[in-house]
Amino acid sequence: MKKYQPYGDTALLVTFGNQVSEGLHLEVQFFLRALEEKKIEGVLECFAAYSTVTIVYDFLKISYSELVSQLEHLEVAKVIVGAPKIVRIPVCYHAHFSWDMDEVMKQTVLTKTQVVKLHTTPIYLVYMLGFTPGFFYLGGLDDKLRCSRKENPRLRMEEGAVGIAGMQTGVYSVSSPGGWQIIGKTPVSVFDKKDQKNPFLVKPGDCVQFYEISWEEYKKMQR
Amino acid sequence: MIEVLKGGFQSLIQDEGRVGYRNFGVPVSGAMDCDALRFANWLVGNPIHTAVVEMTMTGASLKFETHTFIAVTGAHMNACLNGKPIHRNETVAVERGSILSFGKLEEGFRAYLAVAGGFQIDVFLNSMSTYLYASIGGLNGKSLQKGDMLPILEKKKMVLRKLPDHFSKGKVSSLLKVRVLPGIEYHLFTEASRKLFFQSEFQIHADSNRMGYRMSGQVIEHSSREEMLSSGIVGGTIQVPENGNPIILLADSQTIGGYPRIANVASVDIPYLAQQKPGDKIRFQKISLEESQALSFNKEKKLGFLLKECR
Repeated sequence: MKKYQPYGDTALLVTFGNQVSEGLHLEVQFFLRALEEKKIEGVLECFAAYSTVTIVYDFLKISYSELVSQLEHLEVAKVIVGAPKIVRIPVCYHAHFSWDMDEVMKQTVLTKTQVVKLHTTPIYLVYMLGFTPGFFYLGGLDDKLRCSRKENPRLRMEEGAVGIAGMQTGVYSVSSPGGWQIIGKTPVSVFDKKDQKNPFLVKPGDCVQFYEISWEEYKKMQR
Repeated sequence: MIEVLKGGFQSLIQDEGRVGYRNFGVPVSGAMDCDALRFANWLVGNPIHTAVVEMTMTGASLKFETHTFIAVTGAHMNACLNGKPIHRNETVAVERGSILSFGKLEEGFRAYLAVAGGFQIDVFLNSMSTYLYASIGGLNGKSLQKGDMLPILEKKKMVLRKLPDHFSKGKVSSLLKVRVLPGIEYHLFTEASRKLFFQSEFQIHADSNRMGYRMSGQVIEHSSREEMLSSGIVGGTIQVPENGNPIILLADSQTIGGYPRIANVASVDIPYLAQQKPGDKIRFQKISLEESQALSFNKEKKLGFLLKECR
C-alpha cells in the first residue's frame, strides 16, 4: 500500500515499501512516469529513490490535500515500454587504477581475474541517481564480491573511479570523498559537464554492464 | 565588466537554483537567503530570479568597468563604494572605475549583490547557480577569485528604489527560534529525544556550510535501530545521524539521504537560518503544516509588489 506524508511545507513523500527490490523499483518508476505524464498543476519536481517518490509542489497553486486526492486517483499503467536501455561502460582494471584490488582479493578470496569476471558479468539495474550529480546506485552485484567499506574513507576519489562496497558497485561521478574499495577506472564521463543538454550517462531504470579494457584502450578512449 | 580584486571568504554566483534535476542527483543550490536575492533584484529592476553574488562571512572587492546600478542586501558587512559607506537595501549608482568593497561583518552572515541587468555567464541545467562540489555553474564552477572578469549585461532602463523598512529583517538575534514541522521519521525518535529536540538549545557547529548546518548540543537518539532506506531530501530537512547531532540540510545538500529525518524547517524561516553563523544558537519550535503554509502565504502576499514590478 502506498503511504502519503507531508514532507516539510513544500513537498510530499510517497512510500511504496521499505526494501530494495526490482518489484518496488518498477512500482516507483511506473508511478513517476504516470505523474510526469499527468502534469499536475502546481507540481514542481518529482524524484525517485529505492522505494519512495518525493514530490515538490507549490502550495499556492495546489493544497496538500488536493494533491493527495489527485495522486490517489492517478492511473498508473504497470507496463514496461520497450526493452530497458543497457549502457555498456568500459573499465580499466589495471594496477594503476585498482588501488584496493589486493584488499578486495583478500576479503573475497578470489584472484584478480575472478574479480574482474564477476564484476563484468551481471547486467546491473540503475535503482536511482544521487550522492553526486549523475552518480547511480546499482543493484545486482554478485554476492561473492561482497566486501566492507574502507575503514578510512579517502578524502578525494577521482572522477571515474569504479568501486565496490557491501552489496553495491558504482562509478564516482565527480571528484569527492568516498569509502568504497576501488577496483578500476572508466575513461567515460558519468556526468559530462560539457554536455549542456544531457550530461547524464544513465537514468533511473536503465541497465548497466561493465566491460574490461586494457591500459592502451583506456589511454585511447580518454578525451 | 566587473574585475574581481579580492574574492572574499566565499563569493558565489547564485540564482534561485537548479530545479528539475534531482532525479539525476543534482542538488538545487541557489541563494541560501532567497528573500535577500529577491530584494536585491527588485532594487535594481531585474527579473526576480536573476543571478546575484552571494558573499559569506566576508565581502569581495570589485571594480566596475562600466557605469551601472547595484544593490546590496542581506548581511551588514559595511559596504563601501570608493571608500565611502553605502546603504544596504537601496539602489546605488556606480560610476565607471568605482571599487566596491566590504568591511567588518556586523550582522547576519551572507550579503547579496545584484547588478542591474545581471551577469553574462553560461547557464547550466537552467541555472547559473554555483555548486562547488561538482564545479558547475557560476564562473567555471568556482567561487570568485582575484583576477576574475565577470561580464555584466547592459540594462537600458534604470530604477532607483529603497526597500520598505518593514521588509528588512531587523536585528538578527544570536538565539534564533526556528519553526519546524515533524519529519518523515519523527516516530522513530524516543519520547525523551523529541522533548530534548524542542526544549534544548543547539549551537551551529563550525563545520557548517551551504550543504548543511551541523548542530551541537543534546544528543538526539532514535528509538529503533531499524535500517532506513535512502530516500529523497528536500531543503530544510533535519536529519539525525548515528552520533545524535542533528544536521539541517540546506541549498547544496545531496538529493538522497539515509538518516532518520526528525523535522523540516518551515520555508519562511530558512532565510533567517541562512543569516546565522557558526557559534550562533537556535531553538526549534513545532508547528503544523497548516500554520507553516499560512506563514508562507502571508509572506508572499506582502511581497506581491516585488513580483508585480519585476519582470
